[in-house]
Amino acid sequence: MIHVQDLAFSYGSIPVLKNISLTLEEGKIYGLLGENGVGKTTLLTLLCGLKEVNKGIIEVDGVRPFSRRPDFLEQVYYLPDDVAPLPVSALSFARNTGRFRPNFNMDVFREVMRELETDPEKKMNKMSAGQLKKTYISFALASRAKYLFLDEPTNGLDIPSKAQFRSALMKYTDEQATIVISTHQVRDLENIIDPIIILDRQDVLLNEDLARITEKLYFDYGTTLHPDSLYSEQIPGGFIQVYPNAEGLESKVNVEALFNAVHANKELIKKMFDRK
Amino acid sequence: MTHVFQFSRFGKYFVYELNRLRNNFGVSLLAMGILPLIVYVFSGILKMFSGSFSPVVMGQEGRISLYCFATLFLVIAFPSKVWGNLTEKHAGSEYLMIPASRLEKFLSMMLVALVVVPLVFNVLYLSSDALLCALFKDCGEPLVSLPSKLNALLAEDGTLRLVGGGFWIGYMVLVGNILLFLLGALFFKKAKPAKTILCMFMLSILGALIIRLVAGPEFMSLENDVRMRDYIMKHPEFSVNLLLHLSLTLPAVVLAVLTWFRLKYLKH
Repeated sequence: MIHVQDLAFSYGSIPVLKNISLTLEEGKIYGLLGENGVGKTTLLTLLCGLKEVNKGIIEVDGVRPFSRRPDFLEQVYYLPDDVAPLPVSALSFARNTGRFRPNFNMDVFREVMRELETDPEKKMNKMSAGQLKKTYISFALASRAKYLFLDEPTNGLDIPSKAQFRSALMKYTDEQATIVISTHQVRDLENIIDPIIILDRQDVLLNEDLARITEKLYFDYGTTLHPDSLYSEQIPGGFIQVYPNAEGLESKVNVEALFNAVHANKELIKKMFDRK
Repeated sequence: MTHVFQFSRFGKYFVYELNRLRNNFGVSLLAMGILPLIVYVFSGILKMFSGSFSPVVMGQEGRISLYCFATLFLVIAFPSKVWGNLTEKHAGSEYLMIPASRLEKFLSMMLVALVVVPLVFNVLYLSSDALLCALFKDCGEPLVSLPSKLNALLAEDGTLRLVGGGFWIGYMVLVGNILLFLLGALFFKKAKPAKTILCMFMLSILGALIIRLVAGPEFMSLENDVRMRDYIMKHPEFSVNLLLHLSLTLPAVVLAVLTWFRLKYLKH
């Protein structure tokens, strides 16, 4: 379990994160959403120990990530948006780096590389951006890490690869794994992320699973605007709108509409989902 | 304690560092090591333009100069080629996330930088040089014999015996310089060797100025310090050895400690 309490982080005098508190449970795929510059990547790098918190606490199974203890690093894999084009073949990279990870499975690496149609014998610095990303995705999944932090994993992937990525993610990750995916491409991952975290500079606006979101909010694809609509957007044939689910109706979450509704009604949404 | 140091994990990490060296600097290290042979063949190729393949073997002074030049180039180039990308976000993150402890990563880096690279370079270089000297008698003594020659010279003189001998002193000079450029490679993001040289130059001037301002012009002047002068006159061998080894070891230790802290607090 990941426990974040009153986290603050700044780059020099520029504050990025402030008063961030959240808990990430095992066996869930979290979608980390937020506007540009709210600190999604910063939060991921803090969670995996690449940066040190200025204030507050982060604990991953009781360990402070910045200690970078080997037993902690064995359980964590961070896939950055921008990956390194190393001067070695993908296979050699996996063999050399995977040996440090007790759960790393070379067969899974080869299998995911095959599913993502990427040649493992090819040198990584000769790969296209998409192939390089797929190599690192394959490594991330083959690492079978307990905590997987993926920063914009579908950036640079072509359309078939996005579907293959979703399928591989569901197939090869452990049921007990905690996966955090930071993304702007919400449509790529809409069907796999649950719960959803919406981050703001000073706050976590939302950290809820889809069931609770649809319990509180109704996502309507209708032709008439609801008077209590928190957010609406015209789409071909009508509107997608979000309004309080007063009647307890069932609906399917539209992550983009949810994000916009939360941003337009920060205080109201926080009050609506307050568990205190 | 297993999260601080574990032999099996250290072994794995050391092999990983060796692979990094091979991938980033392997060919260059090989080329630097066989530089005497390359220069020999190249001189032959140049001579071919004048009609015949008759390569020239340099004399002792030329070979010493070439060795110094190759060593200098190696010391300046390899730390930034092998570890320079740790300051870049993507490669640096990959390095930091490898499940090995800070101590294991530091020790592996030190072993590769201060033992493996100098050893491989010198074995290759001195073997190439010895081979040429064995084939061509007019090239003088092979370079490998020079440290012992220096020791013999000092012993013959009878007044001074340097502890550790010429080989050790040469090695410590090399260690200090490698550590300096390694720290530069881990500290600066761009133009690493140039900034390291510039920084060293500025710090030397600054250090000299501070000493001059704080301690005055008499600092380290033996004329006013009669006790110290007498002691040095009475124990010249001990004094010279102490000063020499302190000046070689102390900067190396300081640079190694700074490298440790740079690695410890490296963030991306």
